[in-house]
This record gives sequence, C-alpha cells and structure tokens, in this order.
Amino acid sequence: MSAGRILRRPALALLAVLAVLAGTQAAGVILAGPAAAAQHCWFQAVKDADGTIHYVKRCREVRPGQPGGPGGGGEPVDCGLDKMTPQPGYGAYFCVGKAACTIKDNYVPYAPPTETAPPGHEWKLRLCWPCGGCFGPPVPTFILDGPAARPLIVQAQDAFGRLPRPDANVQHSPDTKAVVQLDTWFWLDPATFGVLRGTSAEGLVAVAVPQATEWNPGDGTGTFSCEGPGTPYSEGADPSQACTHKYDAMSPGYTGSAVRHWAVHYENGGGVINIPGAPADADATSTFVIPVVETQVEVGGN
Amino acid sequence: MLRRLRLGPVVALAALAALLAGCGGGTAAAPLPDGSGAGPTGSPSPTVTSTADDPVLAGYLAYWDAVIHAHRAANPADPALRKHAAGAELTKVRNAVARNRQQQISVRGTVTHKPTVASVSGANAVVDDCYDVSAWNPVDVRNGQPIDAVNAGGTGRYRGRFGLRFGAGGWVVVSSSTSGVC
Repeated sequence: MSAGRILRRPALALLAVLAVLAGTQAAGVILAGPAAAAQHCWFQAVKDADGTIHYVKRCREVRPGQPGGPGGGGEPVDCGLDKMTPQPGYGAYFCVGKAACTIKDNYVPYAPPTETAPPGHEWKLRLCWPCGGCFGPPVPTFILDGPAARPLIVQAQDAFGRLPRPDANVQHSPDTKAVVQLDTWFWLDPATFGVLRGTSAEGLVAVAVPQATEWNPGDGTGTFSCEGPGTPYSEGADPSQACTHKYDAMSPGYTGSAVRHWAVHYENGGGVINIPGAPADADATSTFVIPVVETQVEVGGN
Repeated sequence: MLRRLRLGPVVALAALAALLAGCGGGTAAAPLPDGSGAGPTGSPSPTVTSTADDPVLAGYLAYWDAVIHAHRAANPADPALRKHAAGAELTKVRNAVARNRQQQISVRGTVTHKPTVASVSGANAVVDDCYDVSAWNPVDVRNGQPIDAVNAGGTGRYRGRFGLRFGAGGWVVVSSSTSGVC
C-alpha cells in the first residue's frame, strides 16, 4: 500500500485589516472595552530547535493614557502620548507597546471584518501610530469591543462542537467487488474531507485541516493510513500516489472503516491562537462493506 | 566545519516590507516576497556554498537542505524529505512542517552548522552538530511579513545529535535529539 500525498491547503477567511498587524507581535486582539481598563493579550511566537513555531500567550493590563501592551516588560513605555493631538471622533490615546493608539468612532473608509460580531459585541477601529509624532499613516486594526468573553477554553469547546463533519463517501476500485491479490484503490470524495470551520458565539473559530485517513479494510490485517482523501482511480493515475490494499482471501463482504483525521487549530480575529487544553484533533468514522472475489485465470496451451 | 546556506534576498525584502508597514502604517497586505514560497512547488532550493567531502556529513547536510526546503515551501509532503530522512525522523520533520503550515507559517533563511561525525559503525552513523537557527525565521505566508519570534533556547544555537543509516540512496537521518544550547 502507498500513501496518497494530497494535502489540502486551508482556505482561511482572513480579516483583511488584521492581516497587516504591524509592530513586533504576530497577533493581538483586545477582548474588553478599550475605554476602560482592559487586558491586552498577544501571542509571542517562539521558535523551537526544529523550526516549529508555537505561541505563548502574554497579557498585560492596558489603561487609556497609560503605557501598556506588548513589549513593555513591566517598565513604563514612552509611546509618545504627549505628542498626540486630540481630535474630534478619536478617543483617548493609549499605548500598545511603543505605539500610540486610539479608537476611532467611525471606521470609514476602512471595511470592517466580514465576520459578524458576536452578540453584544461590535467591531471598532483602533488606529496606532508607531510612536508619537512619527511620520506616516496609522496602522488600522479592528478589535472586538463588548462585554467580557467566556474563557477561551470554553469558547474553543463551543467552536469545536460546531465543526460540521459531513458523512464520508467511501469509494473504491474495483467499484463492486475487490479481487484477491489485486490492488484495491480506496479514496474518499474530497468534498467530504475538506477544511472545516466552527465558530463560537464570541467569534473564536475552530479550523479543522484534513490530515490523513486511517483505513481498515476489514480483513483483519490491521489499519493503514493515507494522507488526505486518497487518489481516485482512473486510467493513468499514478499508483504510487494511491491508497491501496491487497486482499488475501475472498469474502461475501468485509466490513471496513475509514476514519478521517483533522488537525484543529483556533483563530481569533484572523490570527492563530494557542489555547491549552483545547481539542486539537477531530475525527469521523465511516464504515463500508466490500465483497472480495477470487478470479481464476485459465492458461491455454498450444 | 562551518557550513552556511546563503541567505536569499527575499528575506531582506520581507524585512524591509515589515519595516515599511510598521513605520508607514500601510493597510495593504504585502505580497509574498517571492510569490511562491507558500506553495509546495516553485520554491528555490537553498544554495549550498560548500559541500562536505565526508559522505556521512554530505547525507546529514542534504537532510538539512531538505528540511529547509520543506519548511520554506510549508510542504510536509516535500519529496526531498523522503530522500534524506526516514522512519521516526521523517515523521518528526513532517509533523513540524505540518504544524507550521497549519499556522500559515513558512520558515525561511539559513541554518549554519559545525558538524562532526561522532561515530560510524557499519550502516549506522552519528553526527554531532552545533547548529544555529537564529537566521532561519518564520514568515506569514498570507502576507509575506516576517513574524517576530524568540528562540526557545535563547541564542538559537542548539547542540544536536543525529542518527543516520546507510541505505540504497546513501546516508539518511533517522533520528535526532537536542541537548541544550552551544
């Protein structure tokens, strides 16, 4: 048997403005009202020895008019608040790292995220200047403003539970009866093994990315795993990319199974967020019955 | 032995793009620096500026070339991996690339080495290395922006031990472990 190598690239619905988060952090979302004291959390990327990136959540309290946010390190940060000029339609300035930020009442001309704000929340536009008086336009970021959200782990479980898992459509070739000692190709309809998304009430998104399918051909030889949904059989299809199995004995019908595995991560405001304890894997099992026959080849002599 | 993979200009471009975004406050997402780094194909292989004469070291460094290529392309199924890694190590590397891919991350840049062959016994060999990943950094594949990351080990230099096995295709890496910084 050989493993197919199809990995589907996740089609992430990006929040366009959040994609240009500037500054030194990968992603930052304020989950409480910006006008009052708020906890600003961000995720520091950490690179492991093998190049793997994981995120560590860091938080600090941010009060309008006071230093705060990432990069503060516990020391007051001069983000140049004294150089900022109050303007109509702009709220009080506050620091996020070394950037001076404010909340703008009206976000025109920027387009808010297409994602609907959770009940009780609304999108607000935060404008940040890299430092007080710096030349250049501010960096816009949409943030969710509203009452305190449920704990992230609860949101994650909510989002995970909303992942829609379609029934698998198991296919094989030969399509009616497998033949002893001949490769039987197995695959799934790709439409049943795509990227899944589930969204919590607060807007936290669980994203399930297809990984592999674990196949049990039902003949007692154990399971084997193939990446993705497998490769449909067709004339000229590359067998080395196929997910196949050889049956050794005939049967009126082996009951097999296909378990689809997804790797689950979470996104908040378009950025990936690490939530310790949140479900990281999702799977779904489908069964099938496949008859196996034995063919006899008559060899004629002269 | 010091071996360096040449840092492509794309990383510098990405850094410049990040600087401009940070200071200028532009609102448009920057394109991928090379326009193809996120895909499974089309990414240029890292350029080797020196080659190892020792076949064990050659296999070891080829393994790193494959790892870097796979991470750059964010492609855990990169065919080069299978040529230069096997068994648990192949799974380990693929998982690392897959995890980054899930996070929309490509890792780009160079890794430098100071490898030595610790032992060779029949078809098995061990390579010790002090490798440096401080110039091998993550990039957001969605907009090509570098992601500011700190090194878990502080300096980015790790003491690694790699097990290799000789097969039909030459020496391939079958295991790896790190034991602190160097």
